[in-house]
Amino acid sequence: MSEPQKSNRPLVRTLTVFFLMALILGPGPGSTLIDGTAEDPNFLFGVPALYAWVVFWYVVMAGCVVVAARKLWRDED
Amino acid sequence: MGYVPHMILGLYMVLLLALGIVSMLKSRHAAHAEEDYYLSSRGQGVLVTSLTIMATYFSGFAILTFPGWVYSDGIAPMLYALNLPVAAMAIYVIGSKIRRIGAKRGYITPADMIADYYGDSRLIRGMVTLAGALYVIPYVVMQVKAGGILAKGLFPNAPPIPLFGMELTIEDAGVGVLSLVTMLYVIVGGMRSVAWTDVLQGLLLLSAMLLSGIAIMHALGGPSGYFAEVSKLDGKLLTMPEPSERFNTWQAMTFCMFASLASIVQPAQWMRFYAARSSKTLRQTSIAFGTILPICFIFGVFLVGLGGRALYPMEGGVLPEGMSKPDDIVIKVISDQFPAMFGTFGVILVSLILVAVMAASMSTADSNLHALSAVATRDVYHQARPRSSENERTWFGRGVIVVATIAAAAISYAGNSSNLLQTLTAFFFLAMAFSAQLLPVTIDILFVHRGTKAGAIAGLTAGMLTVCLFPPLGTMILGDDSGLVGVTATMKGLLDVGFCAIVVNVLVFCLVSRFTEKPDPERSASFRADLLPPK
Repeated sequence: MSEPQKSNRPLVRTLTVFFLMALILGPGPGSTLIDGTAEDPNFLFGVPALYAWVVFWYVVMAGCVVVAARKLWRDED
Repeated sequence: MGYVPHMILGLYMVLLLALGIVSMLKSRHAAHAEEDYYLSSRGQGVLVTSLTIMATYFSGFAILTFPGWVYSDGIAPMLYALNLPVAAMAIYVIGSKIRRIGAKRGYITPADMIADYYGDSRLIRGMVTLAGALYVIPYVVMQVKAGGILAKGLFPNAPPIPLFGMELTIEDAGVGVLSLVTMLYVIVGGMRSVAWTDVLQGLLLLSAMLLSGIAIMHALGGPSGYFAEVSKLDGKLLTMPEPSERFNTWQAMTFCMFASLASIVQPAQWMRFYAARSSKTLRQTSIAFGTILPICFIFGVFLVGLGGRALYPMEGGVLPEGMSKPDDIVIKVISDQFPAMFGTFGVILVSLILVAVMAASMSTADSNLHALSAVATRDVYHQARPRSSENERTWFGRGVIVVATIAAAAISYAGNSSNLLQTLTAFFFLAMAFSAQLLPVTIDILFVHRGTKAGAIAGLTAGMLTVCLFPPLGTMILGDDSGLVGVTATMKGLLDVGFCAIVVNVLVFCLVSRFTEKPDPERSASFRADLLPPK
């Protein structure tokens, strides 16, 4: 994710796994597992499950960006 | 609304021109005219870089089309917003390397870098220029045309305007005025005025997105009332469509992976990486882009699209009164709700948001107009006249802006019946897929270092030809009955077009690179050394 010192490698791996998982599960096939059916859509605390799904994976992906920016990316000028 | 929209629009135009003049005064003493005109002397800070990248990334699409999709198709299109964190990641991972090598070697356009790495040849520079132009030109024309449509929305009952014995409709007048103002501030201030006006336009756009979300929440009685109403909607709107339908899961996934990157490597954004002051600027921009923009979508205009469907239901597939297409939902909600919520201030807010929608189109048009000028000057004129001075090239670039603006306005005036506009519209729908073809060579240059010049040319050619086979362009070239277009139409229903063409591009790039001569090892090593941060 950054171009990384040895101590950072576990964090790079963790962020990469989470980011790719979010990218594949979020908009990908995972979305069809939680939405229910057109006749009986699923809800989570009154919120459509698919909307909650979008928000959840957005938080995961944005979290990965923020952690990478603060912990991994260096200001190398 | 009386004269409020006229006053706000007038004030907005004056502000844009003032920013253009101030940026021109600031650039008078620049040491390098060309670098200052196209890249603000590589000194843009985090506020300007963040907002100019955001404003360029989204046109009127953000505040009209996207919520319109949610209104007509439900929650599924919201998944497309997950492309934003991918783009945010790319702003630093790709952008900081582009910035560093660009500053060391004086690059201004994408072709400068790509041609320098593979060994300067007119063919590879031409291919990269073509890929960039196929993105930039349709965007300029379509955004200028959108400006006219938005002017009609702002002044729906305005009478025709007499001019030189002709009668101009409000749409034509909108195209003329917006084109003229955009052209003037781009000509006088270059990148600096484009970026500064993007700050104003970006702030207007983001505020409008969030405010419209607040309006729909208020209209439906707060969050609990909102979701209670939404839960009564047709279940098809709250679940994913079948794999063969629009906004299906595979299309969403490939869009998030590749369309985001295509928008990040298009010429106007690439030049913003060159123009950033430091890696720190791009790191902070990445955080801002990955957090602020999705919030404005997910908790702003998306809520309007979904709540709008509950507030203004479609009876038997017919749109409610006051809406001619689903894209009108944000305008409908704010026009009805703000005056009720805020009284006179609400009327001013409605006008401000309508101007913000116009700003969204203008901020994309100006960035692409400026990028088109850079590409024409550096990649065409400078190649034809290598001994031209920086001043001469900068004036040539200004001439390109004048010609391109007049051409875009003329095409808009010709109307929907014109063949040229129809062709450009077809290119517009595939513009991101064309710019995505720059991705494999960019990744090779910055990270992989295994490709060859012949491989890059072959990959780019194969990728762009593949895009041409997809509708609507494929239909125009090969006809409706072509079996090949039937296949690509089916694929387009399942996957993102840019992704399909990138697969072909990468396969050809790898195969040809395997059997052709690598770039000069010394040149390649020196390039890689310049990519590394200082010790």
